[in-house]
Amino acid sequence: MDVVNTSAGQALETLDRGVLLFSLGGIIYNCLLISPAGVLLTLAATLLYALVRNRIANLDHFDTDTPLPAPPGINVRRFLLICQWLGSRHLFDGLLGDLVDPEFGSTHAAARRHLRRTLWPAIGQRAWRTALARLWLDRNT
Amino acid sequence: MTPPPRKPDLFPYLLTALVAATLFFLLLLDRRSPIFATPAGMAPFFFIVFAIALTLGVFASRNPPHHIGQSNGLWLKWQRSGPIGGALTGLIFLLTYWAYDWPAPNRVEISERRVNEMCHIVPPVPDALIIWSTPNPLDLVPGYMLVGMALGLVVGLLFPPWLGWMDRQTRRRPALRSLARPYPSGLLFGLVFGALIGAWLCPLIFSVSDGRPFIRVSTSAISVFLAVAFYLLFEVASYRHCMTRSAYMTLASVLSIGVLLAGLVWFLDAQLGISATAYCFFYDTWNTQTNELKPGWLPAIAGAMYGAMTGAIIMSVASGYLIIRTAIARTAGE
Repeated sequence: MDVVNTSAGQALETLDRGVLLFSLGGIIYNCLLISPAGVLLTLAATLLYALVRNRIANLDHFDTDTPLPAPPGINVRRFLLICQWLGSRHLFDGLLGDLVDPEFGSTHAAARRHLRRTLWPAIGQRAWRTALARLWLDRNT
Repeated sequence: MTPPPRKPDLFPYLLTALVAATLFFLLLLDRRSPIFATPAGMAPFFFIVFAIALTLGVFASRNPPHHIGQSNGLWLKWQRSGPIGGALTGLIFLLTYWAYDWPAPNRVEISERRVNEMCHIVPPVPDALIIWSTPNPLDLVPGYMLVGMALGLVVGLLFPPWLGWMDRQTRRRPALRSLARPYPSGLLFGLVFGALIGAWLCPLIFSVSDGRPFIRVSTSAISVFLAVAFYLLFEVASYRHCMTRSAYMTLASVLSIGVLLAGLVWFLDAQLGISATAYCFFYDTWNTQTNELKPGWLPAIAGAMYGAMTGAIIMSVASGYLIIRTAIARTAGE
């Protein structure tokens, strides 16, 4: 079963790479043809692919019956939804874990401020690193 | 200890369906006024939309195989649901055909009436040999319903034995085991039987020379998707009290795949003019003097390709019925 999953995972990674390359190529090509609608449509399709792919990849990771830790003052449902669609379980656990630190989680306002400041940059960084990795440009792998 | 009930998680699938529908309507828009500067400019978009369909397909095919003997007694029997779904498919097919392909002032039809300019026939077919009138669409209702019922009967009677056969064949070959799962198995059934039926039926329909316009490939794709999807929704609505989270997830993903596949066919047809090429290909094998198809394999090959495409879309959505049924039965058994 693991063998099947690994090979399927590799095939999906190759598909991601193909989508990214086709997207870059499509945007450049449509720019050369001066077709803004074509650029936007290619971009929209790429974002849709990324969204669907990330959500499906996260299905198993968030599929748990254990109750989620709920730090006071944090809307975990909304946070979970954002992480399911745009982030990962790793990101979700990491950011919630940060709130155990008294520096970030001492008050409701501090916890919310910390999440606001870290969540979106973390999602952006993750997306950027994933894109670089798919283009063989990630130096850490 | 019983596990706590899982919260419904329909939102991602509804959103996927919604965005897929938006993309689909963008494709429709492209038919009216081209969005891409050249047909080649749409190639990356085509690949990405295909990748989305493929990703959802991989997700749908992760569902476990269906056991033939398993039945919770809730669903229509295959022998009955096939013809009913088929007749409904026939009706919706005719409706979409009339909406998109029937002659109207703002529509460019693909028919014998335009054959000389469309297919560049030299010497041109004389006016006397061209049928200029169109039949009354209402007269076509019985024929379409009957053909739909017959095709539905084929699915209803042959699909369960096909699943059993696939199961037996792949049991000895572990590498092919995933083909026995409902979705890949249904898709394969659609391709094989679609090609067989198309090879026989398409030349037969083409040889009915009553002046009706040619059914565009995109019209077929869209109408079979709409028809089978509506039938699936109808079945689900009838038994909504038994639906589970995984059943809804499956429903959403098979519908999304259907939308994307139909959108792809539409897009390719609009950009590459596949329907007009197919029509000219058929017409090339047409004897205008006797209004009959010339003997040969070419019409059958074109019909097989047309049928395989339609069959794949039909079974891509129809296999959702089977997966949903399995999901419910599994939940009931736990």
